[in-house]
Amino acid sequence: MDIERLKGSINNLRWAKFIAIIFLAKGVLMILAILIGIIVLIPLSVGVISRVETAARMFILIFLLLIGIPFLIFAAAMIILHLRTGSSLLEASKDLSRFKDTGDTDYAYIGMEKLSSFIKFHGWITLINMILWIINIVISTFISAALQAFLSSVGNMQNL
Amino acid sequence: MDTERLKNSLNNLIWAKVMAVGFILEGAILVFGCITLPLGILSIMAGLKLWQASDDLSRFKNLGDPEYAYIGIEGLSSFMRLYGWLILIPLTLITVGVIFAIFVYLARL
Repeated sequence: MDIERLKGSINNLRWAKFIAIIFLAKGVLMILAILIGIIVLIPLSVGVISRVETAARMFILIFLLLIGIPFLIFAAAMIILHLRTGSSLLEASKDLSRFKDTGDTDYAYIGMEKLSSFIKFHGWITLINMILWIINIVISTFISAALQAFLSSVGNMQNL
Repeated sequence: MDTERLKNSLNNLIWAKVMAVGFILEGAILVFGCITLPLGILSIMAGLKLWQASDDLSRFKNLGDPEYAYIGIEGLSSFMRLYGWLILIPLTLITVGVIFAIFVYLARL
């Protein structure tokens, strides 16, 4: 294989570094958002729970656990994916830059491996986002259909 | 250069296709918005470029022809540029919007 040609075909590594930094920043921002959310929500929910009756308190606790735990697991997975996507792309762009500068082919192989990891992690993020879109579309369609049915039934009752 | 080692270092090309589909679908949604139209076009272009690059790199893995490796890596580099713009444009617009909102708020005070 022609090393010089391979070097020539590897371009836009600054863009790759920029994308990597954005992914890392997104991961850090997600961590901050979760921490702020926990700091704000815990005293708020404790305040609400202490005011209601025991039966309602249990219901609220179960509801919070049912919503909160899956959300936290999902958020942790997304944070890890974003951080790993960013770090693998940053390392890949560094290794490929070294290959371009020094011509050492080992850096090319390592860089390509890291780039493959970036593609895998980003693929997971894309897949999760697509599943979320589908869930969002299904839920919004269901809610709008239920709302329309409710409004039409109210209209029928008023006509009667 | 060891072609076999380069072949082995290129993996997860199916995930690249998943990514490409995501970019194209996102672009197809963004194209319908008046302001987001350029971003939609850019997203579709990035998706198609990534699809093409993953096709070329798969061909390199299957056939061993280094010509496909060069073209595939060039395509991947172009995808990085397009993806970079795809991030930079909304980031700039949001920053400008926030600065403008701060100015308006300060002017009202």
